[in-house]
Amino acid sequence: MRALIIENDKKIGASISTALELAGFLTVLEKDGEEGWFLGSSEPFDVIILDLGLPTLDGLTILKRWRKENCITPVLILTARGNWDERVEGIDSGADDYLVKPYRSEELVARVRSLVRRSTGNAAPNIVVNDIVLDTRQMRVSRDGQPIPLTPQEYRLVSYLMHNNNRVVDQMELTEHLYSQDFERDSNSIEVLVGRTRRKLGKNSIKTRRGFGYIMEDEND
Amino acid sequence: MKPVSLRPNSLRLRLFAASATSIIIALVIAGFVISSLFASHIESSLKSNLSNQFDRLIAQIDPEIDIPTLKAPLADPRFQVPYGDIYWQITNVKTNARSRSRSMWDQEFNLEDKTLFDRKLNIANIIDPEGTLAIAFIQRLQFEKKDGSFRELDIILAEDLNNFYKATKEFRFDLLRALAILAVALSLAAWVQITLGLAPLSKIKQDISAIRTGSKNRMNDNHPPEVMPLINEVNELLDTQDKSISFARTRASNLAHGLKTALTVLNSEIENIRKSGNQQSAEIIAQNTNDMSAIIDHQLRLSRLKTRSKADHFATPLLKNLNRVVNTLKKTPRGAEIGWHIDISGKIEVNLDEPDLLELIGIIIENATQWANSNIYINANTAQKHINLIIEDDGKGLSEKQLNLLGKRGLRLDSKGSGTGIGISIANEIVIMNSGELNFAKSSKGGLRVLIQIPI
Repeated sequence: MRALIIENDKKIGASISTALELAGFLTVLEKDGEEGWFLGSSEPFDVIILDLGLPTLDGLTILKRWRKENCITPVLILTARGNWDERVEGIDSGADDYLVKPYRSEELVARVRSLVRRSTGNAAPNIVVNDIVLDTRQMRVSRDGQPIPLTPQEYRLVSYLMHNNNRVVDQMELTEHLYSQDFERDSNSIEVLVGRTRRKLGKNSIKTRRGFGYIMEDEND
Repeated sequence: MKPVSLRPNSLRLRLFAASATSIIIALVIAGFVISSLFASHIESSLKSNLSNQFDRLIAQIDPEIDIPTLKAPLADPRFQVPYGDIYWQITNVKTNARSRSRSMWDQEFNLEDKTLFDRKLNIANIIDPEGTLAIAFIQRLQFEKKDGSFRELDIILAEDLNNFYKATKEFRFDLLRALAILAVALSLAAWVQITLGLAPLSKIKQDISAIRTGSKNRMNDNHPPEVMPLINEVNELLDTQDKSISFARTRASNLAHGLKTALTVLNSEIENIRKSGNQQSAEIIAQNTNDMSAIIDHQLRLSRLKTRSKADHFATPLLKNLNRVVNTLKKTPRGAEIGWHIDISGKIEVNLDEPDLLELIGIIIENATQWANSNIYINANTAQKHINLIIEDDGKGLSEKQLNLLGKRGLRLDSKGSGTGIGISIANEIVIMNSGELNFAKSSKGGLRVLIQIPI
């Protein structure tokens, strides 16, 4: 899962980035409003954390621009001012959630996870596909109640496929959402990662649709 | 037309009183002067006429006859009419023989003051045959007869003053009427002039009222040049005030932003402290950062509340803003889990500025979201001068003691504030500033029932 953080304060930006990376996200941190707007418009992100008090281009303007451009990435706004007219204006402008500073890192991570889940149509914190359960809060994957030890990259793969369950995800999309921009894109890496994860989860857990991509689908549907 | 205020310190009354007094004084003086001029003119005309008559009378005297005789009667027919208002009498000083005009009828002038009969012309007021006051030309003249001797004659020519007094009286009466009409006309003109002169003040009043209600930021520049220095001063004062408020708000906002940024960083450090095993220190720091955050929030939100006067009136739609708040809360994980039951029908507008209404209902509903088990019920009904907005939750509610504390009328939590009380404190401030009420009770749904009374 890729998260774009647009926050002009270095320390806060770094702390958000750290908290989200610990929660299994790939993060991109941007301090400048104009640059942040461009990144959000041009690259695929699963979630955007947007500070409203940016110096060059304020957060609400960026948000309105994205929504006008039909960018539907879920956006969590951060504001130092807790007054209701600004919160309502933020939501009216297209934000999906808001958080008033100061916040606790756990709260931020929980809100971001919830946003990602809701944006993919999964309301509950546990996403279930057949006998595999993804606990987004604990960052754990289990099968028949038994925890399955996964590396961070394997977890990201399972998390992305389970958030987008019943949908074929192509290799390009997986690469974009699982690896950082500076990663040297080798078509084999995804195949190797999928193969390794499949061995841990079970043979039919991740299905390959030749020429299209990969899918985790619910067999009861 | 609006009724005109005429309080003792009214500018209009003072200007009108000054104008009316000046007009009356000027007209009284003018009345006296015109009346005197008229009397003087009539008197001088009378004297001039008498002087001519006197000359004609002397010219007609025949000095040869002992009994004073006129060679021909005088032209003025009034001399022939008994009590005809003009009279002459000639007396031979030596023989005391007398002749007089027919107008004197059977009367004679018998003047006691003999000093009036000297060689120079004397003008005096005497009583005429009618018994009224008359002006008389009196002179003793010496005529030379043909034989070279002289005859001395006392000549009196008099004219009744009744006509003079009557004409003067009538003129004064006419003058008084004319001046009274003039006084009324001038006073009305002064009133109109004052009204027109003061008209720009009502425009200034409208401008100031518009500034007070917030529909304008500055006064218009189209006032008369005489008041423009005042308008410019007021505009400069408003600009300075705006700058000061804006500067203070920006400073407060920047200060809050800076402090909250630091607190956010501190919060992330608390996690590290907690993870390092020092739970007690982490809790102490966390408690203090929460308190600091609450204080900053409280003061920041207070600084944004709009102070208002009785003249301010708002018609803010309730349901639309309620939905905006609920939709905002539904976006939060907690709000998404709640069952929302909103029972408000019809168009309800409240007399509250929109940001204040959002703040008030936002605080109360967010509080309900925090404590509700799974449902929140919102309904409203209209009373005579206010609406009753009721927000209930199905949570565990508050104890009687807590309710009493919360429901205390005019409650203003101390300036330090702490914890969750901050929001309620702000809500209280809003209802107090807007003549509303906030009441807390136990809900039949199990949790807290908040009744907000907002003026319509």
